[in-house]
Amino acid sequence: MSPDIRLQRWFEAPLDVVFDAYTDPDAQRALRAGGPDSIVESECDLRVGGEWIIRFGPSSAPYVERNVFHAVERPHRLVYASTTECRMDRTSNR
Amino acid sequence: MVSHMPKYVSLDGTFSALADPTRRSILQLVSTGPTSISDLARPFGIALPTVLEHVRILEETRLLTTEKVGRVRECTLGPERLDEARQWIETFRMWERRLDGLDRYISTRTGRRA
Repeated sequence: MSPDIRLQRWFEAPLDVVFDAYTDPDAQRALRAGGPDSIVESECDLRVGGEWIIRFGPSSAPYVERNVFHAVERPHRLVYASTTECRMDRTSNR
Repeated sequence: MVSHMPKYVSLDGTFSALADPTRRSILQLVSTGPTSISDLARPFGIALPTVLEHVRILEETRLLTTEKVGRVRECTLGPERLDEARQWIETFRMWERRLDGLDRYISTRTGRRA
C-alpha cells in the first residue's frame, strides 16, 4: 500500500492561465517563498522527457528538485516524476 | 495531484492506532521514558486486560515496543512510525501551501482579489 496524497483545488481562472502559471518561475517564487535568505530558481523545459529543475530554500544549502515530465497536455494534464535533494537528506516522491 | 510515498507501508495502521485517545495518552506517558504495563494502567484507571489490548495494538503498528525486564514488561516508544505519520502530514501541508501560493499568484495575474 502506498498512501497517496490527493488534493483538489478550484482556481477561478481560465484553464490555460492555471496551467501556464504552474511552471512559471515567478509563480514558483511566489509559492515557495521562504525567509530573507531564501532563493527560488526555476528552469523548465516543458516537454515530455524535459527536465524542470527548481533550486529553493536558504541560499547556503538549497534544495534541488528535479522533475521529469511524463505527460504535457496543455491545458488539462501535466505528469512528472520528482526527486528532491538537499544537503541533509534525500527524499523522493512522484 | 498525486504524491506516492511507497516507504510508508504502515500509515493506515498508524493513524488507526492513533485514533484512540487512550492509546495517544499511553504513547505520551511512554514518551517520557520506559514504562511498565502496570504503571500504564494506573493513571488511566482502566483494567489491565484493556491496557494490554491497547499495548498490543500499539506494538503491532510498532508505535511501541515492549521488553521483559526482570519480572516486569517495559514499554518504549517506537519513534519511526510517528515520524512517518508526521512526514505524511507535512507533505500534505506542503502541497496545500503551494496550491495556496499558486492561487494567490493566479489571482494577482487575473486581477481577482484573493
